[in-house]
Amino acid sequence: MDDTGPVTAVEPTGDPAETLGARELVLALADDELCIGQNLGWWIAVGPFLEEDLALTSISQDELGHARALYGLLGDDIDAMAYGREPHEYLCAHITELPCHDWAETLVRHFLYDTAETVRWSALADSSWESLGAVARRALAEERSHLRHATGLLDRLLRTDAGIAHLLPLFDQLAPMAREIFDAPSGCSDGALVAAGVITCDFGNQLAQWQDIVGDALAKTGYQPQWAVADAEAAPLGGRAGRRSAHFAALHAEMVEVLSIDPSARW
Amino acid sequence: MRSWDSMEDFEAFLDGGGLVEPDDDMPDAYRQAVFRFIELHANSEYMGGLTERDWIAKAPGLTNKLKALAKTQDEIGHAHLLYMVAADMGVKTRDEMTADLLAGRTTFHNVFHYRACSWGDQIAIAYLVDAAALASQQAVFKNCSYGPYKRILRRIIAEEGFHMRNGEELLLKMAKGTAQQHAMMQESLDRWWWPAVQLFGPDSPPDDVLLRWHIKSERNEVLRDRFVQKMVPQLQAAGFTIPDSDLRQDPDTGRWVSGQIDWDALKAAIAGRGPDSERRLRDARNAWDGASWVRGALDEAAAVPA
Repeated sequence: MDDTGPVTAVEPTGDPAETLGARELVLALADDELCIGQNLGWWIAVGPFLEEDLALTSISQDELGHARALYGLLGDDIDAMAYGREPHEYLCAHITELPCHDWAETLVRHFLYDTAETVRWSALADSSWESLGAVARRALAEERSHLRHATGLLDRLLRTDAGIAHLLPLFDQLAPMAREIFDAPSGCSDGALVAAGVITCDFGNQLAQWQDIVGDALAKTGYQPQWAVADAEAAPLGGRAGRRSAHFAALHAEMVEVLSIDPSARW
Repeated sequence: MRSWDSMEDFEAFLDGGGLVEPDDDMPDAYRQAVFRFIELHANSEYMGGLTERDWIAKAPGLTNKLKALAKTQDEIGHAHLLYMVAADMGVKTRDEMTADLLAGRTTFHNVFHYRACSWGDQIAIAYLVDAAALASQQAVFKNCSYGPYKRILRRIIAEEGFHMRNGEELLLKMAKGTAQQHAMMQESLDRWWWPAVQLFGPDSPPDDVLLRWHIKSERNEVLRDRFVQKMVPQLQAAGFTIPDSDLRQDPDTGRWVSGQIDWDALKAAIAGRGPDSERRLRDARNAWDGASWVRGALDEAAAVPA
């Protein structure tokens, strides 16, 4: 967790990394990638066919690599940031914490998350925080192959009755939850981030772009995602403010099981 | 397509270093023997991935997690290549091989009938099992008469070499680590030493067709002995003990001589009665059956133009 305390917005000529909320933004992204990478890695050897095991674990490694690069922008002790914080210090979106041990769930989450990532990285590719921009540009190249994988499978499966029956209900469940990816992390003002050039598109516009992409991808099925949950005024999930979902405890316990055996050990 | 008039001609071709290709009219006995050998190898890589996956999520630290993921992905990648090479032999399709494996009609190596009980076990697998597998594969590669298998073994061996070196690096960390790490590693070596030694199999029969047809290039007992000669001093130098109370060093030759090897344990494991055989196959069956709709729907989509 950022321990430098709140910083005030600086003039655009200052260090972009010190912009109000910039570190929280990077931390939230890194935590998303850490959880997604961890959850995708589960699929090794148990996918629907071996080629899919290989694809999902490649993507898992890419996402964990992004987490490492992003934590690396915030400090040197990457494992302390990734695994050494209290649950309320994580800022991940709840959708990244879902185990998704059903492959259909994994595919729908993968599609929603990687389309969102493409929008999010694009808004960082020309960041005034140059090292963040470099991470974003590298990640964008990888996201293209992630998206090819997700949309390739989705397009083919949605041409079948079985695919429609298995997949579309999951969009109703997961699409509203995935909106949280574009929630501002606590302490983060996208106005200040845009003004300082850390991001080139505010969160509201990123969300709208993402909803268009998802809507277009599903249009040929005649289905449109129900973006809002039943109660349009439902309380925010709060993942970006440090509120963890019911799935986080098990996910985190697994990540730190060996590390906790002997905190003085080097592994 | 090449063909041979007699088994003598075919064997002369093999003895001359000839490489058999899938469209050759090879003797059926050779086709069946090579197919069974590759199928066993493929099954073992697949089940090895299932054995290792328990500890990927728990791997300590991001770097170890990435390495563990990459390693297990390599194993699954090997299974994928091997199943394709095996399917090209025209004996069984990939789906038939999977069905036979999951129904217990075909086998996989003894070591993957055991459970990885700790992070130390994950290291022991990389250090001992990958080293043993690598030694066997190198011996096959050296003189392998089946062209497609020889070509993919080149890649498999290169990757297994990385795994073994990663295992060595992690083992040394445990050796130099805290008392708890050292104890964890010793327990893991105690669990995995004998299965790794048994992996080479009992002594080769005098008339082993796999040797005659240049699939294997060395006898099981020769490979096993070389493994023991290499591993015993390495593990002792790292401060670990070998769980073989009868292990002794021949005073004249300096060579290490193992105690009695329990071949019944090997036979039981391969027959599906190992300590973790049931769970291994159950996990694989659940995964395979649970996703049958995905394979069916993709086949259906492929049959209909977009």
